[in-house]
Amino acid sequence: MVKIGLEIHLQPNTKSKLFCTCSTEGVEPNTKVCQICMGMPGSKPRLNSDAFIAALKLAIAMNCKIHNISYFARKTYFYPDLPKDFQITQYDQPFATEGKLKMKDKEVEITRIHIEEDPASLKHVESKNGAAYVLIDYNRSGTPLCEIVTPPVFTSPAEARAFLEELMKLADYIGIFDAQEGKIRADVNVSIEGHPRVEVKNITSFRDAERAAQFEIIRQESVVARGEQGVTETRSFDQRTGTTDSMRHKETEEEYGYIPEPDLPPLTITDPELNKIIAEMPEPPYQRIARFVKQYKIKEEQAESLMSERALADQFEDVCKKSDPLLAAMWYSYVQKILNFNAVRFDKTGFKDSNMIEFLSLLSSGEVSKRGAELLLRELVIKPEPAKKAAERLGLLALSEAETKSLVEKAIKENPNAVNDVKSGKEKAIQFLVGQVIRASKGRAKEKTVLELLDIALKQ
Amino acid sequence: MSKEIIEEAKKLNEKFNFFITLEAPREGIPIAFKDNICTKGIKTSAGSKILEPYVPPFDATVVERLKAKGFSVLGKTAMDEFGFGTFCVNTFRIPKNPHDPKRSCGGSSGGSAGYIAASKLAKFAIAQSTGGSISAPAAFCGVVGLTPTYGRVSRYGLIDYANSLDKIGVVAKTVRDASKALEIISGPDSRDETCQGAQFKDPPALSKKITIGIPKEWLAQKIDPEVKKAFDEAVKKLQAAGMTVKEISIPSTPYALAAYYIIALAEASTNLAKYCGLRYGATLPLEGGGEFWEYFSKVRGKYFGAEAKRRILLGTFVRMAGYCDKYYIQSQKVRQLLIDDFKKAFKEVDIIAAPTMPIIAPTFDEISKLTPIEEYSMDVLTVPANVAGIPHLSIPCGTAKGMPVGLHLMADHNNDELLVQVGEKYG
Repeated sequence: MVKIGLEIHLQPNTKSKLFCTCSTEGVEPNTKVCQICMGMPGSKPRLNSDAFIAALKLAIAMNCKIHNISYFARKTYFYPDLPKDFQITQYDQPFATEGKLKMKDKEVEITRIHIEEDPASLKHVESKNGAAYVLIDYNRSGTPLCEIVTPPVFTSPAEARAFLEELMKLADYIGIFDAQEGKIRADVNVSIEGHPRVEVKNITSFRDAERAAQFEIIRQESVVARGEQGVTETRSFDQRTGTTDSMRHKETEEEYGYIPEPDLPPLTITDPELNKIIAEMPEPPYQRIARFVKQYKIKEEQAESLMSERALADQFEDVCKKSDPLLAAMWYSYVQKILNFNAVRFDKTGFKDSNMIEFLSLLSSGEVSKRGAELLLRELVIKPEPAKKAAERLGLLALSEAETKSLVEKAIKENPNAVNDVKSGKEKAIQFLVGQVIRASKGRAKEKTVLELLDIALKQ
Repeated sequence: MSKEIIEEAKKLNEKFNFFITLEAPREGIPIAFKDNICTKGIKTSAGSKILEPYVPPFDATVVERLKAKGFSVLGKTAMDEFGFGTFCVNTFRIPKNPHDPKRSCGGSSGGSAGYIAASKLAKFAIAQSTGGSISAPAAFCGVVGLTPTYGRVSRYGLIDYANSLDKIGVVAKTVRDASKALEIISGPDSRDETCQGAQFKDPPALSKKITIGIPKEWLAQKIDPEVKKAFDEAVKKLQAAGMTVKEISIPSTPYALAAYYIIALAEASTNLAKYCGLRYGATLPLEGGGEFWEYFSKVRGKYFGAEAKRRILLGTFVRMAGYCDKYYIQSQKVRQLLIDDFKKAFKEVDIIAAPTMPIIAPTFDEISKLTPIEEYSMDVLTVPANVAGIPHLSIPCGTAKGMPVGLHLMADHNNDELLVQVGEKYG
């Protein structure tokens, strides 16, 4: 039996770093740095409470037990990316433990969540004379991370990957993470029957987390099949080959020599403060999906898809107060296709509920045809403006009665045979005439108006 | 005035080695700072070869606050490497005691205390204590040493020895000078999350009746009889000033020294990890390639002094899994016990008194014969107040064998004002 556990590092979307006021959005190397995130002698950390609140929201969304008092700790090890040669993290008393991530069809246990600082990033460079050297970019140094640890509860690599995707969606939904641009990494630990646990590091994508686990299972199976004794170790994933390699030396937990961080007071959150955050949390996605299906009678897939962004789900509910939910759900699916095509987030578009309500009313009144509506929505989502104005500009508005009337008259004149058929009681022939008028109008004539006008004209 | 101060400091430095770096500021009243306090644009080595070339890009909060009041940086004073010592000999610049150049200034704030003792112009200098590094040199040099309650002076910009114990304070000619200086440098600072105490206010003269307690366990320690005699005289003087003196008990005393060294060295061993020749201070050529840890080890091996290496090893050992509970966690329990003992004592008395140091300033020859344990034991009387984080004041109280002796006064947390009032009354 395969057992897979995950250790996930998710960077919450705070403006500044965990212990200083440097921006988390440095592009040019070593430009968003100060004495604190570079660990200069004499500097002291100062907690950015936004990072703690973001981490608390994640813990609440995962139904964790939140501790009113927890502690920061120093994890000491020597590495060129770690400016102080110790990392400020949480050790035996993290702020959140014993959670559950509720998904549609199951629950995944969460061991703990804590906050810590990210080290700098290293860039390995091959120089001209062949010697390799390393460049250090301290922009990343000190950015906040939430570490989420699961027990070995996944039984397949695909299941572990599905969890990662679910977690990312949840973090985005509660507003602490951007699923398109945010940084999330995972270490995977894998063990099969007869082989001790192996931790795989250096994984940078969800796909690689799955690949690393797949490779480890095959490798461990062959170790067991050969009758060899597998070892507990940390291995590194090679993205190029999709394989894992033994890491020559990696400190074990015993070697870090953790002590409480003496520069920071205990991390505290009172019950009233916590309750305030809880009260501001959105309805959990799995609950909201069920409610949407029940309340709006939409399909489950539609409800799930609306949950991909909280702003989308929120707007859908606002729109449903004034529009038909089934119609709205159908057209929000189309909105998502437009977003995917343009690789843009819904909350970045500026598309408002009033835009959608007007759009849907143009559609149901027949002012805009279904075909015209797709064109119109593509325009509106990317460049929001009043729907009617856009339809007019694009020439998508239905023809007036007078314009339609002249097309109807033209159709009658040009199709005497069909006119005779109608008059002799062949009801179907009227559909032919309707089609002719609509084609001549390039889809802009309202079917209902055309029918009415034909009716009047042919009864004369 | 500032010109004279600079000239005098130059001359004294040639004779006694008080300064590691000596500046010639054009503005402000020049003040000496211990070399572990960051000064923007001025070398700050913390007495260590590994940081000798280091120039901080920012001022410590205490430097900022003094500059705002019209002071400037005269220079950076000699100290034991990172504060690791009681005699200011564990460093590359060893200051000499102005009362007898064959003797130590005491440590680790030896340069600051020696300078104040020798100068005719300077009123105070900035010092810092982890386990007694203000009181010890103040006693040995015959000046006033004031160490405030932990958290009343910002540590921002102080190069860490042991963060939960480090306190910035002052050495001064008089208690009043020390008090005025503390008023400037104290008060909350958002850049140090452990600095939450109120600003210290230079207090008016003492008006209430004071009871002084003398811990019997402390007098039972090995104390030079002549030092004890000077202390007894001082107690009489306190009584003559109308204070009541009584014996008290601090039962956890025997464990304080061990607990202190374990906590201090555990923290120190993490603080010193960053000195590896990568970003700060001394470096070595990268020739020959090799792994990063080989380079780190080479730099650390070459530039850390013997005492720093000893403390890193001890500190790393007590943090190791399997030992941490036995040593580090146990020491934190002792620390709490000691605080409880003090709290109990301060229900009975206002001030606790003892000799500051069990000996007078030793000669360099005597120091060279001490084992590390013997050296650590010299802190036995200063460590309890430092571990508990209570304010303490060393005041000159006569001499023994011609050398100054210090009277050590201690008050409860945040009673720094009362401590100063009693000190002033003593005179």
